[in-house]
Amino acid sequence: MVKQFYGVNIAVKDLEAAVKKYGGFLGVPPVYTKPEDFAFPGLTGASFHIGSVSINLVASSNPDTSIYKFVESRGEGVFLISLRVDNLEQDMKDFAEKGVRFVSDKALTYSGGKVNFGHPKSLHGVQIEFIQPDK
Amino acid sequence: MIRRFLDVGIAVRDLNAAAAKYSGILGVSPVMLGAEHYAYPGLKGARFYIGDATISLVASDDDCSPIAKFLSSRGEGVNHISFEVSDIEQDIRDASHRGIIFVTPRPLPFPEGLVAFTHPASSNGVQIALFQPTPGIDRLNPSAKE
Repeated sequence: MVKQFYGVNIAVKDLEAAVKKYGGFLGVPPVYTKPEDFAFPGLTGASFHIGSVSINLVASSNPDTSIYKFVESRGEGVFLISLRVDNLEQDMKDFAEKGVRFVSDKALTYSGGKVNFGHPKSLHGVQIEFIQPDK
Repeated sequence: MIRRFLDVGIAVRDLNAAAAKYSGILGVSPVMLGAEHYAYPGLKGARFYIGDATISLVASDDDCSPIAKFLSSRGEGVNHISFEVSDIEQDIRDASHRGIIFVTPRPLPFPEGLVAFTHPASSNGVQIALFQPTPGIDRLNPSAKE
């Protein structure tokens, strides 16, 4: 089940320019994301921690990534919202029964845990990341 | 300055259908919001309290509202994210110095407080709402409200 509002991912073109703007605006320093912290290759990013919520900027110069395609077709903007769950496989079954379609049939892994993505068409236009960190 | 993250606002066409779906996923019942909760007329919504933040669905009965225009041009989706600030007039000035443009030069008053929205083109495609609550209102604690 959903335990926490975890963050917002914003797709940007120029990571450094966006980090500068959001860092100044939010008043906290960025934490740069390592490649292995993403579930997909080809992404760069930086996070700002505001209480228990992360504002994550994500960029990509690789035309095969969903971030690159999103920026090309829609422009910069909110790419997804992230919710922490406590039992991803079970939650995927439960949410599928409620009409949520997932980007991957199986949970994906990243350096810090498991993740899957609800397709925006099944969620009133919002891509939702369901994430289960190991810790 | 930014005090905390508050909310993601999602523009939807059919509020009841969207509220039913999100309630099933989030595992909590929404607080339904009438027009008095908004700085613009013609809006209604449903808000889900998820720990230290909320997810709000917003729909419109008024074709001229910003939400109706968003829905007709972009379709359903994230309309804005909002942050609670400590001094909204000063925070608007500070953000303006960083190149962020606001839809209105002054914050808009409504019963819960003051709010100002950025123009998304000036904040990497994201509409950001700055919100300063009326004293006594805790936006993340519904039982403390009213």
